[in-house]
Order: sequence, then structure tokens, then C-alpha cells
Amino acid sequence: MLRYAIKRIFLLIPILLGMTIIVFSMLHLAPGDPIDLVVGPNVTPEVRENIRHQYGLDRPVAIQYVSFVKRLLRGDLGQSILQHKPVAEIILEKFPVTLELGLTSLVISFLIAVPIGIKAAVKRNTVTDYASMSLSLVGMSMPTFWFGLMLLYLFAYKLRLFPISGYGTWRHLFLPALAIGITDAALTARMVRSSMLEVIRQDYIRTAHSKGLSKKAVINRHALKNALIPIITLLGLRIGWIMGGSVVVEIVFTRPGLGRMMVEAILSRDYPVVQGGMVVLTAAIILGNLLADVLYAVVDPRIKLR
Amino acid sequence: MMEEVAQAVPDKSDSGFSEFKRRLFRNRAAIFGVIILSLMFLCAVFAPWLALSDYARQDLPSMLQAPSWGHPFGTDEFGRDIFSRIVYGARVSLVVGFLAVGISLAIGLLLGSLAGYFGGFVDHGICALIDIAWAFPMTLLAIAIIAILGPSLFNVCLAIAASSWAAFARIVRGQFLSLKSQEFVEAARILGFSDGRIILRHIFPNAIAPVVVLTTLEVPKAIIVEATLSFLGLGVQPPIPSWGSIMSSGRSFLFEAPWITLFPGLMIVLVVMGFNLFGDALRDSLDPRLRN
Repeated sequence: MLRYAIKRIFLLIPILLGMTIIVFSMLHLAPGDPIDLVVGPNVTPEVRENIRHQYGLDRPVAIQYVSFVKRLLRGDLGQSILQHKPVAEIILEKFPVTLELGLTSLVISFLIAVPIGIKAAVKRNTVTDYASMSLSLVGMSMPTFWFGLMLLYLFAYKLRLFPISGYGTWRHLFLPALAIGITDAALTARMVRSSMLEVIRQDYIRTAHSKGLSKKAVINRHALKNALIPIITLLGLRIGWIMGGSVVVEIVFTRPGLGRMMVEAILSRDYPVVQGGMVVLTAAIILGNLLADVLYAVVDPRIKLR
Repeated sequence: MMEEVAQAVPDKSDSGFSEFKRRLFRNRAAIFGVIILSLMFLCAVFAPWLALSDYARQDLPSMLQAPSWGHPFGTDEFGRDIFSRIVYGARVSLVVGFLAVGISLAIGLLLGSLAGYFGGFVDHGICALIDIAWAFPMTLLAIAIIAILGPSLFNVCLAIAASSWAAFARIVRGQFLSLKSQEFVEAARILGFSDGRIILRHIFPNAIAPVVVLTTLEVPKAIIVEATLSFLGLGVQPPIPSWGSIMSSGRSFLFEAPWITLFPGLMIVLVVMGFNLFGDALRDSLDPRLRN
């Protein structure tokens, strides 16, 4: 088990390197001189050269990249140009807000998707199946932010059940988490359904049926456990989608999270903050995938052999 | 006896394509999808005739009006007709959808076939690239790229393609891996054909089915990402109306004028649903084994 986990971690190294190269290039590919972001255009060339030297921008790009990675490893994400604070400090403040939203959405999504997916598979080609798959199709087709806006209008403005914006209590959390959770559940339910259908076809399910077990016992005791295995991998893959969704949903519900921080930073060209946000979000996604992979191997020992 | 033999020999009307068409159009969901998509194309092509007024025409006295006969989808904060803006917005969604997926398709086909055909270190390198692209969530990567390139219609396409090419590369690579060891490819190699000819003329036509399916399922994703970017102010810039940018301005008036946000979103749901229905049916009829 440990060997498999270590192997997976080593496979991450090129991915992490690629990620740092992309994030590093952001500042250098952006149009204009990065110095312009720090000082106005009306400074003497000497001052510019000084600042260039101070930020190490006069050194070869490869050396700049190495020192960028070295700083990353120390947890130093640079300084925000606009807020005059270390980026790491800003992110540390925003990360819990996004994490809370992401985890709640994930829970909501699975609470909706797993029962619906299983029901649809067991009652395949019945009205139940068609109805749940049609609903899932509609859910899959909705942009998350639009669904969030509609929830906001209906439940916060018309019915006054929830606050319109802000952050703090579960009532602030519920609508944004529902927006991400439901759109995510639509896709997850389809995957649960096909995974369950796959299992129902297996020989051991036929054996369970033929030894006289009730349909309920077969589904609950034999099929369900095996159908849930691939869902674990799904859990890891959904993290990326949920993080992406939370970026926009945070804007809709004005939650002070990472997503809103990133979009604001992009619009005001505060590149160190954008870079820091990208590093943290992608690292979270990569770690989530790793965790899901390892968990998958724990519950399904066949994976390790591959 | 003679009849049995005649049945065993496939005649022209029983060709693979007509069988495929028969299966596709027996599927009611597919027909529904095709109808939605055709309406959408007509809408985009005939926008100037369908629109009730110019998409940019301001009419301040009739601003923020609720839907009525004169303005079926209401008006926005400048009195512009939402229906007309949505009709024109269909152009942006379709152009971005197809251009972005076209770019990803080109990159994915090239890298996927190289990786699958040549294997070895070419394969390792390309697979690493695929894994990196997959590690970034589509929306976030697109936002980051727009941050570098600046917002414009073409840059939005590039930003979407930057993450969605990996799906194509992965599927093409898989197809090439399984096809290249088959006898007809071996035969072509023995005949002395060049790698380029084997890839293009022999493997490619056999690998195309899942790629077509993936294309129909990636276009709606691109449409949603475009709407998201435009909603954030990082997409198509005013005065060109895009469904995302209409919703972006509608957000400020959500409570007084919910129709500004409601209708463009409904259009997206409809169109994305059309593509998904069509794509699912296409997959079922091209590869019945995948049917669930």
C-alpha cells in the first residue's frame, strides 16, 4: 500500500513542475513590463533599473524560475502589489471560506446523487429512471452561476428565507452550496447510475439472486458496496469542478473567498495574487486527486497491480 | 435457400451509415436535440431578420421594462431589447463553441496520434502534458489565460482550448494504441507506406467515431465556460452581446429586473441540453456497446 502511495507521489512531480512553469510564465507573458505594475510610468530609468534589480528581474529567466520555485517551497508567494501584504497571508485568510463552500457542496452533491443514481439503475428503463435522468440532464446544462442567481432571486429576495450576501453562518452558506451541489449532483448521478449498472451485470450478483436472496438484500449488501468504489475516484475528480464552480458562485453571493480574490486580482492586474491563488487551488486539486487514487487502491486492492 | 443467401450478403441499403442513421433517428431524444440545435443555428444565421431592433439601440424611456408584446423578454438598464440581444448572442455562443473546440480538436488530434502511434518517450512527454492540463480546472485555467492575454472573443477560444484539448488527445491516443497493432495497419506497414500515410489514411478513419462524440459533448462545455467568462467581465467585450455578458449586466438589476438574467440563462440550458441529447444519442448509435 505504502509503495503504491509513494509511486503515485513521485508521478506528481512532473505535474507540479509543469504547474509552476505555467504559473511562473503568467507574469512574464503578460503584456507590458512587470515594473509598470509596481511603479507608475513617470519614473526615471535609473529608478526602474533599481527596482528591476531589487525584484531580480534583471537575471536570466531560468534563474528567476528556480528562485520562484525555491520561494514557493518555503511557502513564500510574494507580495501583493495593491494590498502591500504577503500573498500567503491573504490566501490563508480566504482559503477557509472557499474550503467550507467546496466541502459543503460536495456533501450536498453526493447526498443527492448517490440515492438517485442507484434508484435509476435498479429501476432501469422505468418512469423513475427516465425522470431522474431527464432531471440530471437539465441540471448538467445549467451554468452554475446562473442557477445561483436564480436561487438568490427566489429564496433570498422573494421568499426572504436566506440572506442575500455575506459570510458567517450556515444560512449564508446554504444557497451557494446548493447552487454548486445541485449542478454537480446532476453529473454525479449519471456516473453513479452507470457504475451501478456495470455491477448489476456481474456474475456475483447473479449468484446472489440465484441463491434466493431478496432483491433488496442483493442491492444493499452486494451491489451497493462495489458500485461505490468508482465513485471514490469521482470524488477526487469533482474537486476541480467544484473549485472552479466556487470561483463564480463566490462572486454571485459576494463571499470573501479565493475565487473572488482571484477575479478581483485579475481585473486589477495584481499578478502575484493571481499566481498565488492558482498555485494554491491547483495544489488542492492535485492533492485531492492523489487522495482519491490512494483511497481507491485501499478499497479495491486490484488497482495496485496495475 | 436463395433468399437466405441474399439476406446474408449485405446490400447497399444495409451499409454501416444507414444503420447508424436508422439508430440515431429512432431515438426521440436525439430528434429533440437536433430540433433545438437547428433552431439555434437558424437564430444565429438570421439574427438581423429575427431581432426586433438593433442589439445596441438604446431607448432610455423604456428601460428595465418587464416582458411584454413589444419586448417579449423585457428590456435592460439602457432600454435595449433583451430578445434581440439574445438572438445576436447566439452567434457569439456558437462561434466560441465551435472555434474553441476546433482548436482543441486540432491540438488533441495531433498530440494524441503522435503519442499513440510512436509510443516511447514521445508518448511519455505528451502524457505528462495531458496530465498537467487535466490538473487545472477548465474555468480556472481559462481565467488565468485571459488574465495574461486580455479579454477578447478569440482569446476566450484559446483559453477554453488550453484545457479541453487534453480530453481529445487522451481519447485519440487510446484509439491509436489499440489500432496500431491490428493486422490492417501491419499490412500497410509491410507495403512500405510512410508513417504519415498510415496515420492519416489507415488509422485515422477508424479512430474517428469517439472523437465525433466527444466533440458534440465538448461544445456545450465551451459554451458554458464562455458564458462564465463573459459573466465575470473576462469574455467578449461590450457592445457585442453575449449571453454571459447580458447576465453580467443583469446581475446588478437582479431584483428589479430578473428577466435580464433569466432568459439568457434559459437559452444556455436549452442549447447545452440540445448538444448533450444529440451527443448521447450519437454515442449510442456509433457504439452500441457503450449503451447503458
